[in-house]
Amino acid sequence: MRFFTLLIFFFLVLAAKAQEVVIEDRYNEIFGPKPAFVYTVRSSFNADDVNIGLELGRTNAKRNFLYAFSFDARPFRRPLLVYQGGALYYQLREERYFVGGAAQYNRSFSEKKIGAFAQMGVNYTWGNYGGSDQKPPKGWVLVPRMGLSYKITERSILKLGYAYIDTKTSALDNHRIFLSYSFIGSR
Amino acid sequence: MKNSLKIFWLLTALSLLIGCDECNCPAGDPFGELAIKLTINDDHPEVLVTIFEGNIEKADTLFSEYWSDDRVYYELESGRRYSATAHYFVDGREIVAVDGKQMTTSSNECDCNYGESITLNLRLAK
Repeated sequence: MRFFTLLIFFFLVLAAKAQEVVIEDRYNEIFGPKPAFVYTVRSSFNADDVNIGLELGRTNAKRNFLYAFSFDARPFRRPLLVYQGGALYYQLREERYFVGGAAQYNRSFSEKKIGAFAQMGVNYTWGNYGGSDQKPPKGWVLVPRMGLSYKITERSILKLGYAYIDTKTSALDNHRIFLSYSFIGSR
Repeated sequence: MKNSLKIFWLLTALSLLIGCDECNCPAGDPFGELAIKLTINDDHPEVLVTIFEGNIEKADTLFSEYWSDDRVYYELESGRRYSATAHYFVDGREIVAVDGKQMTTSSNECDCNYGESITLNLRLAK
Protein backbone atom coordinates (compact mmCIF):
# COMPACT_ATOMS: atom_id res chain seq x y z
CA MET A 1 0.00 0.00 0.00
CA ARG A 2 2.79 2.39 1.03
CA PHE A 3 4.57 1.56 -2.22
CA PHE A 4 1.52 2.53 -4.30
CA THR A 5 1.09 5.77 -2.36
CA LEU A 6 4.72 6.68 -3.04
CA LEU A 7 4.34 5.77 -6.72
CA ILE A 8 1.29 8.01 -7.09
CA PHE A 9 3.09 10.82 -5.26
CA PHE A 10 6.11 10.62 -7.61
CA PHE A 11 3.78 10.46 -10.61
CA LEU A 12 2.04 13.64 -9.46
CA VAL A 13 5.37 15.38 -8.86
CA LEU A 14 6.58 14.47 -12.34
CA ALA A 15 3.27 15.50 -13.89
CA ALA A 16 3.46 18.87 -12.10
CA LYS A 17 7.02 19.38 -13.34
CA ALA A 18 5.97 18.69 -16.90
CA GLN A 19 3.32 21.43 -16.79
CA GLU A 20 4.49 24.64 -18.44
CA VAL A 21 3.50 27.61 -16.33
CA VAL A 22 3.11 30.78 -18.35
CA ILE A 23 2.65 34.00 -16.45
CA GLU A 24 1.51 36.69 -18.81
CA ASP A 25 3.10 40.11 -18.40
CA ARG A 26 0.02 42.33 -17.91
CA TYR A 27 1.92 45.30 -16.46
CA ASN A 28 1.06 47.50 -19.48
CA GLU A 29 -2.70 46.75 -19.17
CA ILE A 30 -2.79 47.72 -15.51
CA PHE A 31 -0.21 50.50 -15.15
CA GLY A 32 0.34 51.62 -18.78
CA PRO A 33 3.70 51.40 -20.64
CA LYS A 34 6.71 50.92 -18.41
CA PRO A 35 10.12 52.61 -18.68
CA ALA A 36 12.28 50.88 -21.29
CA PHE A 37 15.69 50.92 -22.92
CA VAL A 38 15.77 52.16 -26.52
CA TYR A 39 18.49 51.05 -28.94
CA THR A 40 18.91 53.24 -32.01
CA VAL A 41 20.92 53.01 -35.22
CA ARG A 42 21.06 56.36 -36.98
CA SER A 43 22.60 58.35 -39.78
CA SER A 44 22.76 62.03 -40.62
CA PHE A 45 23.91 63.02 -44.07
CA ASN A 46 24.04 65.67 -46.78
CA ALA A 47 25.83 65.99 -50.12
CA ASP A 48 29.15 66.73 -48.34
CA ASP A 49 29.30 64.24 -45.51
CA VAL A 50 27.80 61.22 -43.72
CA ASN A 51 27.69 60.17 -40.05
CA ILE A 52 26.62 56.76 -38.75
CA GLY A 53 25.95 56.22 -35.06
CA LEU A 54 24.51 54.21 -32.21
CA GLU A 55 22.40 55.55 -29.34
CA LEU A 56 21.40 53.87 -26.10
CA GLY A 57 18.51 55.59 -24.37
CA ARG A 58 15.97 55.16 -21.61
CA THR A 59 12.37 56.32 -21.82
CA ASN A 60 10.10 57.34 -18.97
CA ALA A 61 6.89 55.40 -18.27
CA LYS A 62 4.81 57.68 -20.50
CA ARG A 63 7.32 57.11 -23.33
CA ASN A 64 7.27 60.80 -24.21
CA PHE A 65 10.72 61.61 -22.85
CA LEU A 66 14.05 59.93 -23.53
CA TYR A 67 17.61 60.55 -22.37
CA ALA A 68 20.46 58.85 -24.19
CA PHE A 69 24.18 58.35 -24.74
CA SER A 70 25.50 58.17 -28.26
CA PHE A 71 28.54 57.58 -30.46
CA ASP A 72 28.71 58.68 -34.09
CA ALA A 73 31.50 58.50 -36.67
CA ARG A 74 32.14 59.26 -40.30
CA PRO A 75 32.51 55.85 -41.99
CA PHE A 76 35.26 57.04 -44.34
CA ARG A 77 38.07 59.62 -44.47
CA ARG A 78 36.79 62.88 -45.94
CA PRO A 79 39.37 64.85 -48.00
CA LEU A 80 39.64 68.49 -46.85
CA LEU A 81 41.85 71.35 -48.00
CA VAL A 82 43.88 72.77 -45.12
CA TYR A 83 45.78 76.03 -45.72
CA GLN A 84 49.49 75.80 -44.85
CA GLY A 85 50.67 79.31 -45.84
CA GLY A 86 51.73 81.00 -49.10
CA ALA A 87 50.19 79.14 -52.03
CA LEU A 88 50.45 75.78 -50.29
CA TYR A 89 47.44 73.67 -49.28
CA TYR A 90 47.39 70.16 -47.85
CA GLN A 91 44.55 67.91 -48.94
CA LEU A 92 44.19 65.89 -45.72
CA ARG A 93 41.83 62.96 -45.20
CA GLU A 94 39.88 63.54 -41.98
CA GLU A 95 38.36 60.97 -39.61
CA ARG A 96 35.61 62.49 -37.41
CA TYR A 97 34.00 61.17 -34.21
CA PHE A 98 31.23 62.37 -31.86
CA VAL A 99 30.40 61.14 -28.37
CA GLY A 100 27.82 62.61 -26.01
CA GLY A 101 24.39 62.65 -24.49
CA ALA A 102 20.95 63.90 -25.51
CA ALA A 103 17.44 64.54 -24.25
CA GLN A 104 14.46 63.92 -26.52
CA TYR A 105 10.77 64.79 -26.36
CA ASN A 106 8.29 62.60 -28.31
CA ARG A 107 4.68 63.39 -29.09
CA SER A 108 2.23 60.98 -30.71
CA PHE A 109 -0.61 62.21 -32.91
CA SER A 110 -4.18 60.97 -32.58
CA GLU A 111 -3.80 57.61 -34.37
CA LYS A 112 -0.51 57.04 -32.44
CA LYS A 113 1.32 55.54 -35.43
CA ILE A 114 2.78 58.87 -36.46
CA GLY A 115 4.46 61.29 -34.09
CA ALA A 116 6.99 64.07 -33.83
CA PHE A 117 10.22 64.37 -31.89
CA ALA A 118 12.69 67.07 -30.88
CA GLN A 119 16.11 66.24 -29.50
CA MET A 120 18.97 68.34 -28.15
CA GLY A 121 22.37 66.69 -27.84
CA VAL A 122 25.65 67.81 -26.33
CA ASN A 123 28.56 66.12 -28.11
CA TYR A 124 32.33 66.20 -27.92
CA THR A 125 33.86 65.96 -31.40
CA TRP A 126 37.42 65.14 -32.41
CA GLY A 127 39.30 63.66 -35.34
CA ASN A 128 42.53 62.60 -37.03
CA TYR A 129 44.20 63.18 -40.38
CA GLY A 130 45.58 60.15 -42.24
CA GLY A 131 49.36 60.37 -42.73
CA SER A 132 49.88 63.60 -40.78
CA ASP A 133 50.56 64.64 -37.18
CA GLN A 134 48.33 67.69 -37.65
CA LYS A 135 45.03 67.51 -35.75
CA PRO A 136 41.63 68.76 -36.96
CA PRO A 137 39.58 71.10 -34.74
CA LYS A 138 37.91 69.49 -31.71
CA GLY A 139 35.54 70.60 -28.94
CA TRP A 140 31.98 70.62 -27.62
CA VAL A 141 29.05 71.14 -29.98
CA LEU A 142 25.27 71.34 -29.61
CA VAL A 143 23.43 68.93 -31.92
CA PRO A 144 19.69 69.62 -32.37
CA ARG A 145 17.55 67.05 -34.20
CA MET A 146 13.84 67.16 -35.00
CA GLY A 147 11.35 65.49 -37.28
CA LEU A 148 8.62 62.90 -37.64
CA SER A 149 8.46 59.38 -36.26
CA TYR A 150 6.54 56.35 -37.50
CA LYS A 151 5.76 53.41 -35.22
CA ILE A 152 6.34 50.28 -37.37
CA THR A 153 5.44 47.87 -34.56
CA GLU A 154 4.95 48.28 -30.79
CA ARG A 155 8.73 47.88 -30.39
CA SER A 156 10.24 49.60 -33.44
CA ILE A 157 10.18 53.21 -34.60
CA LEU A 158 11.49 54.87 -37.76
CA LYS A 159 12.44 58.56 -37.59
CA LEU A 160 13.09 61.03 -40.38
CA GLY A 161 14.00 64.65 -39.90
CA TYR A 162 16.58 67.38 -39.74
CA ALA A 163 19.88 67.56 -37.83
CA TYR A 164 22.35 70.39 -37.38
CA ILE A 165 25.83 68.90 -36.96
CA ASP A 166 28.82 71.18 -36.53
CA THR A 167 31.96 69.29 -37.56
CA LYS A 168 34.06 72.38 -36.76
CA THR A 169 35.10 72.37 -40.43
CA SER A 170 33.98 75.45 -42.33
CA ALA A 171 34.18 73.65 -45.70
CA LEU A 172 31.32 71.30 -44.84
CA ASP A 173 27.60 72.10 -44.69
CA ASN A 174 26.16 71.59 -41.18
CA HIS A 175 22.52 71.07 -42.25
CA ARG A 176 21.70 67.39 -42.64
CA ILE A 177 18.92 64.88 -43.19
CA PHE A 178 18.43 62.63 -40.17
CA LEU A 179 17.27 58.99 -40.41
CA SER A 180 17.06 56.47 -37.57
CA TYR A 181 15.63 53.10 -36.56
CA SER A 182 14.90 52.46 -32.88
CA PHE A 183 14.16 49.22 -31.09
CA ILE A 184 12.37 49.46 -27.74
CA GLY A 185 13.72 46.81 -25.38
CA SER A 186 12.32 45.50 -22.16
CA ARG A 187 12.31 47.28 -18.81
CA MET B 1 44.78 -6.40 -37.49
CA LYS B 2 48.39 -5.50 -36.74
CA ASN B 3 48.99 -4.80 -40.43
CA SER B 4 45.97 -2.51 -40.60
CA LEU B 5 47.28 -0.53 -37.64
CA LYS B 6 50.71 -0.22 -39.25
CA ILE B 7 49.15 1.08 -42.48
CA PHE B 8 47.04 3.55 -40.48
CA TRP B 9 50.09 4.98 -38.62
CA LEU B 10 52.10 5.10 -41.86
CA LEU B 11 49.36 7.05 -43.63
CA THR B 12 49.02 9.43 -40.64
CA ALA B 13 52.79 10.10 -40.63
CA LEU B 14 52.78 10.66 -44.41
CA SER B 15 49.89 13.11 -44.22
CA LEU B 16 51.67 15.05 -41.47
CA LEU B 17 54.85 15.22 -43.57
CA ILE B 18 52.90 16.45 -46.63
CA GLY B 19 51.18 19.02 -44.40
CA CYS B 20 54.55 20.36 -43.20
CA ASP B 21 55.78 20.69 -46.80
CA GLU B 22 52.75 22.84 -47.66
CA CYS B 23 53.33 25.08 -44.64
CA ASN B 24 56.89 26.21 -45.38
CA CYS B 25 56.91 29.91 -44.56
CA PRO B 26 59.10 32.28 -46.61
CA ALA B 27 62.23 33.39 -44.76
CA GLY B 28 62.69 36.98 -43.61
CA ASP B 29 60.31 39.77 -42.63
CA PRO B 30 56.83 39.73 -44.23
CA PHE B 31 56.03 42.23 -46.98
CA GLY B 32 52.71 43.70 -48.10
CA GLU B 33 51.38 45.67 -51.03
CA LEU B 34 50.97 49.44 -50.81
CA ALA B 35 48.69 50.76 -53.57
CA ILE B 36 48.44 54.48 -54.34
CA LYS B 37 45.59 56.11 -56.28
CA LEU B 38 46.49 59.26 -58.25
CA THR B 39 44.70 61.78 -60.44
CA ILE B 40 46.27 61.60 -63.90
CA ASN B 41 44.66 63.65 -66.68
CA ASP B 42 45.49 66.40 -69.23
CA ASP B 43 45.97 68.95 -66.40
CA HIS B 44 48.14 66.58 -64.36
CA PRO B 45 49.90 64.19 -66.77
CA GLU B 46 52.67 63.44 -64.28
CA VAL B 47 52.64 63.64 -60.48
CA LEU B 48 55.48 63.66 -57.96
CA VAL B 49 54.81 60.93 -55.38
CA THR B 50 56.79 60.61 -52.14
CA ILE B 51 56.46 57.63 -49.77
CA PHE B 52 57.38 58.04 -46.09
CA GLU B 53 57.73 55.61 -43.23
CA GLY B 54 55.60 57.07 -40.41
CA ASN B 55 53.72 60.31 -40.86
CA ILE B 56 54.93 62.95 -43.31
CA GLU B 57 56.22 65.27 -40.57
CA LYS B 58 58.78 62.60 -39.61
CA ALA B 59 60.28 63.12 -43.13
CA ASP B 60 61.61 59.55 -43.27
CA THR B 61 61.54 59.35 -47.09
CA LEU B 62 61.61 55.91 -48.74
CA PHE B 63 60.90 56.81 -52.38
CA SER B 64 60.29 59.98 -54.36
CA GLU B 65 59.49 59.68 -58.04
CA TYR B 66 57.23 60.96 -60.84
CA TRP B 67 54.37 58.75 -62.01
CA SER B 68 52.03 59.00 -64.98
CA ASP B 69 49.81 56.02 -63.99
CA ASP B 70 46.66 56.55 -61.93
CA ARG B 71 47.43 53.55 -59.71
CA VAL B 72 50.93 52.55 -58.56
CA TYR B 73 52.14 49.74 -56.28
CA TYR B 74 55.02 49.20 -53.87
CA GLU B 75 56.05 46.11 -51.91
CA LEU B 76 56.98 47.22 -48.38
CA GLU B 77 57.78 45.63 -45.05
CA SER B 78 54.65 45.12 -42.95
CA GLY B 79 54.05 46.09 -39.31
CA ARG B 80 54.84 49.75 -40.04
CA ARG B 81 52.89 52.92 -40.74
CA TYR B 82 53.34 54.44 -44.20
CA SER B 83 52.22 57.76 -45.60
CA ALA B 84 52.48 59.34 -49.02
CA THR B 85 52.13 62.71 -50.72
CA ALA B 86 51.27 63.70 -54.30
CA HIS B 87 51.93 67.22 -55.59
CA TYR B 88 49.39 68.94 -57.85
CA PHE B 89 49.33 72.51 -59.18
CA VAL B 90 45.83 73.99 -59.56
CA ASP B 91 45.18 77.66 -60.50
CA GLY B 92 48.51 78.87 -59.08
CA ARG B 93 48.07 76.88 -55.86
CA GLU B 94 50.16 73.90 -54.86
CA ILE B 95 47.95 71.17 -53.43
CA VAL B 96 49.72 68.35 -51.62
CA ALA B 97 47.43 65.34 -51.23
CA VAL B 98 48.32 63.39 -48.07
CA ASP B 99 47.21 59.98 -46.83
CA GLY B 100 48.65 57.33 -44.50
CA LYS B 101 47.79 54.00 -42.90
CA GLN B 102 49.26 51.24 -40.78
CA MET B 103 50.28 48.09 -42.71
CA THR B 104 49.35 45.29 -40.34
CA THR B 105 50.89 41.81 -40.23
CA SER B 106 48.54 38.80 -40.30
CA SER B 107 49.02 35.02 -40.18
CA ASN B 108 47.59 32.46 -42.58
CA GLU B 109 46.38 28.91 -41.75
CA CYS B 110 50.03 27.67 -41.78
CA ASP B 111 50.97 30.32 -39.18
CA CYS B 112 53.08 32.16 -41.80
CA ASN B 113 53.12 35.95 -41.46
CA TYR B 114 52.16 38.23 -44.35
CA GLY B 115 51.51 41.95 -44.77
CA GLU B 116 47.92 43.15 -45.29
CA SER B 117 47.52 45.25 -48.46
CA ILE B 118 46.72 48.93 -47.95
CA THR B 119 45.55 51.63 -50.36
CA LEU B 120 46.35 55.33 -50.01
CA ASN B 121 44.02 57.69 -51.86
CA LEU B 122 45.96 60.67 -53.22
CA ARG B 123 43.40 61.65 -55.85
CA LEU B 124 42.41 65.32 -56.04
CA ALA B 125 39.03 65.84 -54.38
CA LYS B 126 36.38 67.51 -56.55
